[in-house]
Amino acid sequence: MRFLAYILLGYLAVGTQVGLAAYAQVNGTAPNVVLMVAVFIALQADTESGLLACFMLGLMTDLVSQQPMGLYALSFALAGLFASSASKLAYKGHPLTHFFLVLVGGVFTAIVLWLYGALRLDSGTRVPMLTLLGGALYSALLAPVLIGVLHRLRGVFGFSTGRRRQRARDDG
Amino acid sequence: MRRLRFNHAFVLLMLASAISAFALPPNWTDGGRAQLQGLFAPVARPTRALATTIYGRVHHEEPIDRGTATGRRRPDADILLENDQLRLQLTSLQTQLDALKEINADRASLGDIRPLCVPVSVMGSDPGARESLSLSGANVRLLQMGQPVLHARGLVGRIARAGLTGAQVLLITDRESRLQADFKLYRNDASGKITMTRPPLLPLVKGRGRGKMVIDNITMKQKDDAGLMINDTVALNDNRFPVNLQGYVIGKITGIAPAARNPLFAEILIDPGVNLETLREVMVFVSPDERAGSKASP
Repeated sequence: MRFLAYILLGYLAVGTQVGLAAYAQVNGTAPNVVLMVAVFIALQADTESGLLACFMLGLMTDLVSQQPMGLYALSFALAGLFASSASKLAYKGHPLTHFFLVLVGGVFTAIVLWLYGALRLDSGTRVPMLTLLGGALYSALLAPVLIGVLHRLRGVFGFSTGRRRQRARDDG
Repeated sequence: MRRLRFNHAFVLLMLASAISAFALPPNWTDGGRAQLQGLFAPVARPTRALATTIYGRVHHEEPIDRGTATGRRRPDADILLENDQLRLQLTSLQTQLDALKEINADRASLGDIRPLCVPVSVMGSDPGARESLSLSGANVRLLQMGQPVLHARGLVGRIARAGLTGAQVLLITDRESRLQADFKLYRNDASGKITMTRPPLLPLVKGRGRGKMVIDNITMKQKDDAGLMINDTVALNDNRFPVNLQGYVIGKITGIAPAARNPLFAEILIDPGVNLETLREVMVFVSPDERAGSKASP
């Protein structure tokens, strides 16, 4: 995996999300471009790199969010765990895979954010679950387009699967 | 073995993030991220500029007339008459203010607040479900936590964290925002002259998300006694803000109904008048002391 390309992709994703979120809202919910990128990387890269990438993307989102530090890092790491496990079974280029994995990733994120609101014991600060799930669905609907484009460009990132890496190690 | 080590390290990372998110007070980590959040400006700024251009062409906002109950625009003659009356009142108030300034030299900065504000450009909005703005630019070094943020039509929020590269503004519409306020009721008297009254109530304005605010600590009886109506103005009356900003507009009432959980209390919806998340530039109120402090520091 080419880390420079990955860092650039993560940086672009967070910058785009910050610049675009207010304008892409439908009924108070915005799509999560960073989550889509996290799922794409977890799907394509080997497990270790993919999980670390998801965690780092969450951490980058935390830098520009009003939520406490670590909330998105935890959410995206959970989403990455699921996407990484599913990548062994799913067809990586299929739009339905992208839709389903981003939807599940969005639901994980929604649960973590809702839990944070619930534990703060102030019902006023709690973001309604319906709004969070709406965001997950919105992201999932856009995922086949964005991840589809990234899937075509996957050569740029030089992803290597665990099996390929193992083979390279054996050859060496 | 290597895989086992990675699993341990990853679980530790997740635990650390969970502790940071759920257990640590947010201000412990705010300082660090305030120093780094401006790094995304080179991408966020052009993206936002492009989105603003497209949004401006697609979305047209109808001007709201705050002088009518319906919000619809009145005939030009009525507006001109009202302007004349307001100009007269303003002249009178300015004279009174000048007299008060002479009496109390400490309040010399009262009145026009524009010289006390610095313009700061908006880099972007919150990437998640909260309502906040990321600021970056040349004036960021003057910003400090707690400073009020304004725009041409009213209050925007307060600085939640500030660092070398950027700052975060907690919007008044975010669910964490709480403000003490006042109602300002503009009514025409029998002679047609506009008068302003302030009912003796202490409403607490809470952010409700989705660009709205709510007041739910006023009973239906208090609401009826005060004669609150749709389109009445809600203004700041909060001791945590500088005296210059007391009376600054928060928004206007867009809905009044009995609260669902307690019908004896009213649920008063407030709209700030603009979509605060799409502002391109805001004004941050920097007191003369804070300016002097930032100049003194290297």
